[in-house]
Amino acid sequence: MVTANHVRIGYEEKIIVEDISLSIKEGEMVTILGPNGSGKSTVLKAVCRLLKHQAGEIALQDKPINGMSNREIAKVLSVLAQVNTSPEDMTVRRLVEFGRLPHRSWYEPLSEKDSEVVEWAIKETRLNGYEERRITDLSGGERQRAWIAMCLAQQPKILFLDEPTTYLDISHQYEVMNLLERLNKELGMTIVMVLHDLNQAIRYSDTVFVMKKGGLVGAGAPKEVLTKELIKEVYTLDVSILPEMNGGCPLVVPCC
Amino acid sequence: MRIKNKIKDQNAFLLFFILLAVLVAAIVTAVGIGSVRISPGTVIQSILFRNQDELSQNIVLNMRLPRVILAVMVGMSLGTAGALLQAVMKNPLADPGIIGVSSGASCVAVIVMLLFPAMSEYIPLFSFLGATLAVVIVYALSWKGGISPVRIVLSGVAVNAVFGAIVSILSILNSDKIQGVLVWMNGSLASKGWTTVQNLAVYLVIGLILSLFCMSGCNTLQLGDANATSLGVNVTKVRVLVSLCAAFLAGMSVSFVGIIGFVGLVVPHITRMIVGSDYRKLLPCSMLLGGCVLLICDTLARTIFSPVELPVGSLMAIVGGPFFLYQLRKSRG
Repeated sequence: MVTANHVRIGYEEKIIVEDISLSIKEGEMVTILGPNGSGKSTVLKAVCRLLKHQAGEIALQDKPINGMSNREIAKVLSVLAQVNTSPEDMTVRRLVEFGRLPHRSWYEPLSEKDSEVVEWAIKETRLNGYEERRITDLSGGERQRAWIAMCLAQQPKILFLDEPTTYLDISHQYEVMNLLERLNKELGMTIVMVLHDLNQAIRYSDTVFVMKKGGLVGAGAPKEVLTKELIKEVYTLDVSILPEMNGGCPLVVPCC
Repeated sequence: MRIKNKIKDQNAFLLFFILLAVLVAAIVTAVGIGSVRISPGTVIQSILFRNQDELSQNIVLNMRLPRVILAVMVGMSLGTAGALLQAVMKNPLADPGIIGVSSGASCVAVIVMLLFPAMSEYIPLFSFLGATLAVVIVYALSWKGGISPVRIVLSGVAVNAVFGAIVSILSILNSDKIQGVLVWMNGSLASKGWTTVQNLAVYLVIGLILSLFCMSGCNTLQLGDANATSLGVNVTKVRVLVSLCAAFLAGMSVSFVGIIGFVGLVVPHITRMIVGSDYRKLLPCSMLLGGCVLLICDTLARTIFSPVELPVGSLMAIVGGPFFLYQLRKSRG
């Protein structure tokens, strides 16, 4: 679905990621992990073309993204940024309608199909009844769902999310994570996200990429990659890993 | 909530037609006001048909109407330019007069007027260049991985000061030729005839039509650069187009009537309060309201201390200054 081959990423003079290669398969739920400043958001931004890479090649569905138009990419790929702002009077429906932008010309009104997709996106994110509410009046979790609905209206094959749970309380965090899991399982949407919570990463992802100082130090199934030793190396934190209980997942617990 | 939104939708249409009606009424009234008062009926008769009375016919058609139309056109373009700049700079304080766009235009225009008088035919073009230059400088100064509203105002003040200083130095060095330039610099609509109206009309119609093509782009810019890109919009291209359009409108008005500040600040703000932030409604309504506001201001400027006329630019600044401060207090960051 997406591959990065010896990619170098940075802002002007400052190189953040020297050389990274990774591959994301279709239908996977992928998490990029790493401590603050490890370059995980940078990699996410580069892979979804929000940040230009300086060397190497990034390919989307086997086509180099440098050769694709922005709009062509937008029909396949959608990104939810970490911080989102909208005008005060933006309503949920209007926001979600923006998601149809890559599929129509700017002068065309919303077609019937566009409206159907908008309805669908609102329903998928359980925002029915909220259509005319203002984004600024919603709770953190609802707001995040509204932005995800905008991404869904793009009907992407792959969805990128930069720390989608960071500003949410624990119940809203799981609400968002469950929504993403459902999109992945039911619609087969490939999902790539940056997370901080190791346990959420273990619980929800098929593959994790672990980063440290701009380089990849682990890649693969979370239960195999996230060992005590690796976590110690990457986060300089001693943890114990509790075995799976009640049919759940292993639990990472800090020892301090 | 749904009802509230519906009202906003209807508001936009309603406001558009109300503004259109107000504008027509204001034009008729403004033409009638002056040292010789002419009744609205006579004004309408003189404009649409012909009037038996040669004197009032002459006053209406040749003295007052060109000025009134000029005020409306300039107000329209400044209101629109302000709304466009506010979208592109994501800043409710962006106004061509405040962030130095108008002074950039006037600076280049003054240089041409004083130093290359042979090229004064091309002043609109040079004003456009000056306005564009100012936008580029403000942008370059305030860009730091994103733009913050306060930094834009600060760089705008600096750009304004530098261009203003260049104009003062030039006018001191050329004090013999400065008379005409001085009146122009303060923003005045006085003693302009049909020729000015015609010339400006050509440019403004182009600019205003182009601005209507910017509405969708302005809307996506409001979601932030990352989201706009994710939606397949070429953000840089949209930014450049919208900025050029704003610089064109501001530059053109400056080249004909000088600097008139604050229209581009006050007008889009009031419009936004009524119709919301959707540029498909905001831009056309700002256009009309801009025309109304500047016409009313100019009519006041020429009548309050009659027979002495105030430059409309100064009057607009007296009204707009406090408004700007109020906005500055309200905006964060």
